[in-house]
Amino acid sequence: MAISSSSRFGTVIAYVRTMAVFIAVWWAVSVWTSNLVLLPTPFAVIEAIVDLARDLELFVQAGISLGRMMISLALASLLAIPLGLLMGLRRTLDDIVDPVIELLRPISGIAWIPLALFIFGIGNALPIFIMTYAAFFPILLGTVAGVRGVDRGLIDAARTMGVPRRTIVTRVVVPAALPSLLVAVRLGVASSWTAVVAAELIGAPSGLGYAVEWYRELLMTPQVMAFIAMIGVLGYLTDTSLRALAQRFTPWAADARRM
Amino acid sequence: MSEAIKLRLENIGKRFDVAGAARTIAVQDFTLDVAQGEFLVIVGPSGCGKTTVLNMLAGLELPTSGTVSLNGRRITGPGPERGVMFQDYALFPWHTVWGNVEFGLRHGPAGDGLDAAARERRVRSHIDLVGLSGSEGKYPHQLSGGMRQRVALARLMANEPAVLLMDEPLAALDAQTRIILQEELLRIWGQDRPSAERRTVVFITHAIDEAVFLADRVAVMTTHPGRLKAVIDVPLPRPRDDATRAQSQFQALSQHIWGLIRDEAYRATVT
Amino acid sequence: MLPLALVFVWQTWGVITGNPRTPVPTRVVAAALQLIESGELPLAIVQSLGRVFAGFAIAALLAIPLGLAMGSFRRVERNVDPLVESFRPIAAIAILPLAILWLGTGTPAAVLIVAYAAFFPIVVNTVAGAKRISPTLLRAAATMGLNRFKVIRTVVVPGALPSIGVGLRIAMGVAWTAIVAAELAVGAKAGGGGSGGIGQMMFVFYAYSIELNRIVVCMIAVGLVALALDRLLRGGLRFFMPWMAR
Repeated sequence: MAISSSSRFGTVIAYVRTMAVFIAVWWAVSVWTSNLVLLPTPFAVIEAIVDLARDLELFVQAGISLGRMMISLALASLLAIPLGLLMGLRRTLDDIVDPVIELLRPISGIAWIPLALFIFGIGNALPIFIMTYAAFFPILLGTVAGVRGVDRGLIDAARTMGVPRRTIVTRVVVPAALPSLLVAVRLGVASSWTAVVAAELIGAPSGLGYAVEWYRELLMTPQVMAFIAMIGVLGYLTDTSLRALAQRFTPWAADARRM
Repeated sequence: MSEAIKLRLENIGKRFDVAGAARTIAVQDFTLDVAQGEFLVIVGPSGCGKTTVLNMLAGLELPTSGTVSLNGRRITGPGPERGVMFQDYALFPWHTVWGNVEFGLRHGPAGDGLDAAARERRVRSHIDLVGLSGSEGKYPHQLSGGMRQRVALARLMANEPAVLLMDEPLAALDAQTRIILQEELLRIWGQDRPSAERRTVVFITHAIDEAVFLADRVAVMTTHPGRLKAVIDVPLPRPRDDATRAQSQFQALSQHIWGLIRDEAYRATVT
Repeated sequence: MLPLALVFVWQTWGVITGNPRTPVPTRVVAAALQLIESGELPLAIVQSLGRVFAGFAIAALLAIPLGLAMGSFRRVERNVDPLVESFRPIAAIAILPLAILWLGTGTPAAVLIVAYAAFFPIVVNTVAGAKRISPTLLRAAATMGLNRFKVIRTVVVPGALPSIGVGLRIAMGVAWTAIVAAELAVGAKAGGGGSGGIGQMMFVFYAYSIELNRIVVCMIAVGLVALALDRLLRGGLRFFMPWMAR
């Protein structure tokens, strides 16, 4: 234990040192170029963050984007996880559905934006559609792979103990597939979080992506950077909390967590 | 003693400090000489520190007390004059059989002063020596366990190290392949040549019959901490072959060594 | 079977319920032929591909050496990792406004976005590959008398190659998505015209002529190019790594 805490301390020091160097270099370059629009100083950005936080705009826009992500994630999981379980368990269903999936999957969510703009117009529906689409494929494929990857021996062991088929699915297949399913959800979230920015940038009247673009048009670069930072922070926090959640629910899956 | 002392381990100790936990003593008060041309086998139950001893001879780990030396010169790190054969083969998956055997000659000091033609001859002859002619172009994943171990042996021998260090090289193989490779190993080592022309070998195993079959002397280790319990001479005549295993002396030596470690081996299975 | 059935359902449904401009398979095919014949679609794809390759090459040239250094030397990793981990969660599209601010709405901004997007998967996978090399292989090389730098060249680099390959494949997918997004956004924000590329073309069809059939053609083209890029890269990697089982 002593080793891990002392090395964690070292990591913190390295982090602070590196970021201090980065900010110093940034500051020096910004002073040298002295162009507030092209490259504001770090302090101008911090000031912008404080201002935006104080009148809550930062949190309002973040909340809107996060809310959309939650809804999309719920929709994508609701569609992809049951379908993935069935596809993983039933070869015939997989043979039928998989070609469609493989046809659609290479078309990125972002490529749907123009068509979706026409169908949904600018508003909440567009980003939610794009994000759900973006999250759907990683979750589906991860679920199928998870179910397929379940050790045959475990299923056979349950069968020799006379466990009925449905119980095998709920008590053996699902728990065994859970670690890879949770990794799949994480990948889905990452992919939808990337899509949200593009979708909001082009087709939504609110949210972080919209705010970034709004302030760019006003040439208020510190605010632009403040919102970009917020996008990064939220992306990092969601991933970290999903990781923690995965550790909580599947403490036996050391490998899946490291991915 | 007419033979010169080759390897010398003097009062070797090895501690692992794990912060917060009690320090582990892997090896304690280990003293042993290995003569030029001798085949020495270290045997002991798992966890007795025999791999640690081998790693210290290889220079991959350094003792926390005592000294390890080769011909009077202290060992402070790995070197091409001490070749190692690893239990899991340690073949480079991106090289073919040929590329693996050639590796040390091409990238290491063992190939210094060799031109391309001489290098090729050397690789060729060692692939032939282990009986892998015709498989030069295969990758490790295309080979059986026995073939992989032959490649590892050819790679080791091609570098022509003065000392061969072998860490349970046959442990991952099935019983039949093992018996065949034990004899091969003795042939390649040169058991039918005079002892002055043989290379010095330190070989680790947990299999007692393997130890007796191969060794000039067997060093028996015990656990917690790893210590040298006894060194036993194996006067069985060379060359040895299947008939050797049937000799009553072979049986008696095996029984004797088993008697030295059985209590500890038993304890290792329940703790 | 199912894809064919779906196409059939789409066709009949579109013809029965929609107006003459509703996209249905036959009209999409006609639009595709038109766009290919006029050379518009091939040109747009070539433009986008050029940007992807430029950005991808920049990313690979920076990320592979950096990743190898981070994976081989603890000190490098310690000091660089905070920067990588701080910027990695920021989606490439999010820095598009900054890129436009700095570089305008032309090709350089698009290349920057692609390079940014492709950089992180390559770095992360290179580091992982370099660190996951079996320690016995490193020891085996050391016992044959190789020094640290020679070990990196002869063991770490080839050993990390499969993982680098995975990183390159992920990066290529991400890069292609990023270029479409960047061109779309540039099209949307710079008011059409200008820089070209498949993404921009889609936006023009949406914003100026509402030609849905052509938009669908572009979407299919985006998917096909993504597939082709992945196949190409996978084939290339297999060619360079014959030792990988299958």
